[in-house]
Amino acid sequence: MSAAPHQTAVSPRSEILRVENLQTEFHTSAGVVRAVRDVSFSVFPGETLGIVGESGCGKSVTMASILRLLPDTGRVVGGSVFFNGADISKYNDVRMEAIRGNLVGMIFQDPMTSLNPVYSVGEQLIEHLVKHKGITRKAARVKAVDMLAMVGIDNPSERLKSFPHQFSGGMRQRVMVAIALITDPLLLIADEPTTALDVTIQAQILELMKRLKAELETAAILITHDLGVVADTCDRVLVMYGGKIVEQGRVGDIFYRPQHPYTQGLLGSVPNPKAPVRERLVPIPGQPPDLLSPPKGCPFVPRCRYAMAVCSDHMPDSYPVADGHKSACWLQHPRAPRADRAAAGVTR
Amino acid sequence: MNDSTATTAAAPLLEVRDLVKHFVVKRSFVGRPLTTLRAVDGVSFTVNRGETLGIVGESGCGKTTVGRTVIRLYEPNSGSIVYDGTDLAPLTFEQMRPFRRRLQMIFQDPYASLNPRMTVTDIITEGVRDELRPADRKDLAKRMLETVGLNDDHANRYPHEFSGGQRQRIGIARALAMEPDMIICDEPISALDVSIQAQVVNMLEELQQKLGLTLVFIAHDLSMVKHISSRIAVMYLGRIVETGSSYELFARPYHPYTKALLSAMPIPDPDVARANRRIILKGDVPSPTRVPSGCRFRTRCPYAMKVCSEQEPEFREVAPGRFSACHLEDGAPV
Amino acid sequence: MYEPDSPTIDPAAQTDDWPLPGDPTILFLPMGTDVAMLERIDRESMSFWQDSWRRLRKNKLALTGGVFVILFTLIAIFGPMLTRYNPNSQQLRLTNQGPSATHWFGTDQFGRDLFTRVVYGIRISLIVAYVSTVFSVAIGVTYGTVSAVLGGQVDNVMMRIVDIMMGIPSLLYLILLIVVLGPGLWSIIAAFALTGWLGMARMVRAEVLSLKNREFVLASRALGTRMRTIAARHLVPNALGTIIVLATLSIPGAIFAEAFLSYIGLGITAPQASLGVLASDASDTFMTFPHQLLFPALAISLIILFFNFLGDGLRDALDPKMKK
Repeated sequence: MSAAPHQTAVSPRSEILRVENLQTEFHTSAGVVRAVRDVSFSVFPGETLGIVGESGCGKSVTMASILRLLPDTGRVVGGSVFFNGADISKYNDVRMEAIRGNLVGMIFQDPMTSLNPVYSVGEQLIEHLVKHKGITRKAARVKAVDMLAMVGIDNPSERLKSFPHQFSGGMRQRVMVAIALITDPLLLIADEPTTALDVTIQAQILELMKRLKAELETAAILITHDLGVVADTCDRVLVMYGGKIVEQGRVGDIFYRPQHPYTQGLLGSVPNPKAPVRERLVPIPGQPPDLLSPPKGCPFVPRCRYAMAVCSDHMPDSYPVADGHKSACWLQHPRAPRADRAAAGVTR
Repeated sequence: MNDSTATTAAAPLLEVRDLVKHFVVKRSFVGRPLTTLRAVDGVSFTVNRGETLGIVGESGCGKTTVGRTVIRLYEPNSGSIVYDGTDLAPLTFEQMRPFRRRLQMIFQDPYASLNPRMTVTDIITEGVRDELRPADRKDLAKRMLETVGLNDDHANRYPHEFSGGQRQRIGIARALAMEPDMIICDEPISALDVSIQAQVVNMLEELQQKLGLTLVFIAHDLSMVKHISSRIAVMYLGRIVETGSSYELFARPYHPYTKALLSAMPIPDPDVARANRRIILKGDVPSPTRVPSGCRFRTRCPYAMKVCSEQEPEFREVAPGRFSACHLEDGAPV
Repeated sequence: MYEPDSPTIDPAAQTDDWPLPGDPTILFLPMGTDVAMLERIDRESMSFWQDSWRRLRKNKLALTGGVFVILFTLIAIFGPMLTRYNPNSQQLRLTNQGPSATHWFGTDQFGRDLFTRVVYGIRISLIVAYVSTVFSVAIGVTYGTVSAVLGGQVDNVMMRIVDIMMGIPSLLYLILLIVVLGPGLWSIIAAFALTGWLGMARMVRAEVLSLKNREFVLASRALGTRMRTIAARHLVPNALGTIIVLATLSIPGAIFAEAFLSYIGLGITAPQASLGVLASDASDTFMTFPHQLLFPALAISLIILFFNFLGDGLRDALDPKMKK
């Protein structure tokens, strides 16, 4: 990532997105699911922020809450979202429309949910541009052809006439990248963009996203469960568990000096194919958290090796480990037992 | 593992030769096949006692069909499946039944592979239902549940009450209840969360050691396959393109497809991942209904030559214990 | 290049300003993890049917429908005990009377007690509906399951037969059958059963086909279970929800069709009377004696309405797509 210099430490004025104390609930027949609990983070220009976690950790719901794309059962019950300096959490649907797909480009796991099967790809790209940028159809067509060429689609002016089903899965995801980036967004949000793809196709798409992001200097949020994808593409990482951010830091902090027992467990669960000797996997015991009745304190406490008396009733604050590296764990407390802290600080 | 190496030389537990399974996806009005999907198109491999053979490949490569055909859920078009000296391919369903005690399967989707209307006890003991009295079946279910880390409290519950990882363990218990020698694991972890995947993989490894099981581990996740397998077969479009011991295949891949696949594999280590030079393959896997002439991989191969479109490369030994199907001299490009 | 690490912070900055909710010597005591706890399931065990019943119970409309369906069924069974009149005994001195304390619904043109006749009408209508549905479910489920399980050309031929039979307008088919069999209760039931199974067979086939490729069926095959056992143990039980919903929702159709056939004179023969016959008889004079039409028509409407309430509720409760 040779693009923008890192401005992580620069004043908060420069941030593109700031989320404060976001809370989202789902009302289901079984009860209220608190999917996002008090989540705060920022995205800075030019950086790629990864959000990792397992299914149900709240990573996708966080994004849907920010963009207000929640299903009918979901509701944002607290917090604020500042995008490019403005508080968009109070915006109405019309004003959100002007942000979504325009200032914020979006890529989802399944391109077919966002592409309309009855219109040609060109029609959708042009329509999208005309709607958001107010340029003529002719100018839009020129830009659409350029964009398709840029995402690596051969013979773009011909392919403009094709319909989504005439593209393969990988090509469709390229079209999605084109649609997401054609409006020159300030922020690109990709939610599991390569999860449905095969490894060789995933490599194509990741390579494409990395190249375009550098060329266009867009900030990006990449939501994924794949630690390999994070290691390869992200500058900073948020680790989520049970609707909360449990650890955040630069990619090296997370992979080489993980502090939170969950992050450590996650890393211990995946084999490193480049490791010189075959290491035994150290899985996290137990099952994913039940969000209907989460523990009062830290959501990870039932599965945590280092659980202490304080953990089950009191949620720990996010405590700095280094500048920009924070872990929400009682082990970080200066008065926590040293032995456990040392054990928890074991790195790969 | 050491004592099994001796028997290994004698006879493999499973020997598959030239296995072919085609599906007719479209028929004419009178029932003549119009489009044929060549899911498995001449696959040969062996599995030795006590080892784990990994089969990797991308979607549509036929790896799942291989597993299902070997266990005779599908009727093979041709080829032989020699299991411990008996060819399973020509057997009828009734003749096959005794072998099902010895050859079992674990399925991919923990949500779809358990009947939602049956209790855990009934699911686990389904295969021995006719042979055991109800009390014995309860006992067996209890023992099997304990083997996979669950307990008696779970015996009378229904599948939807369990998490994905627990369900997958119930699926393992169902296979183990038959006391098999060999289990074919068809993408057993790909539907599970990362932290749960490791639980299931560790459990399979422990069970293998304890019970002396032979495993076939089918998956698309290369790093997990490398982790669990002693040998690996790489499939592409209905064929095996390369085999080798897990360590050697990763250290020195011969076939261009294996090379690309390995280089595309995400690595959970930022420094290594970013230093990694990827071979980016162009385009997509062709449809198995329209298999390219000659070498199947030539449409995406960075080293494709004229001969590749004319002649199918032979699956040959390129180094001791290493087989690859490529026209390049030793499989390694200049 | 990327900067993997955050700059370290001055250890002096890490002051002890993180408040603790109590005594550190107690708070930081290790708890350890209880392995058995990790596998524990707190929720009460519930089978699919218990779970569906729980959902159905929450649906007031469906519950009302269910209660009234049971009530009407009880009336059909025990109704005759509620009345001291014979439905067919004529009292020619008491013709066309309005509702009164002695004749709750009044009397008809022959002086027969209308309440009694409505009660017997409900009985006949429900017998027709229930018995024909039982037969069409039995035929339809068997046919659909066999067709889906055997698959291939057999399935093809079996389904083309259904297509052809469905191509014939069912009314034409019914009229022909009744002309051949002669009008009467059992002819109507036979005619309904012989037309009603077609839709059931199609639905069951579609359901079983999708179930047949589910992994639990493959798993059962891999355990050596024979196809016949698989059909009985896995396929039909999982299709049962759909079957029940379809059967419940087909009952109003049968009642309505029976009423219609009786109305055009092809239904139940006198002196037996279904609700349709009662409505038909009353329609000539309904300007002068509206109550004679009102009560049977009301009974038909209510029965159909309540069955629809129940059927819709069952669909919501049993539909696996609504689950979880």
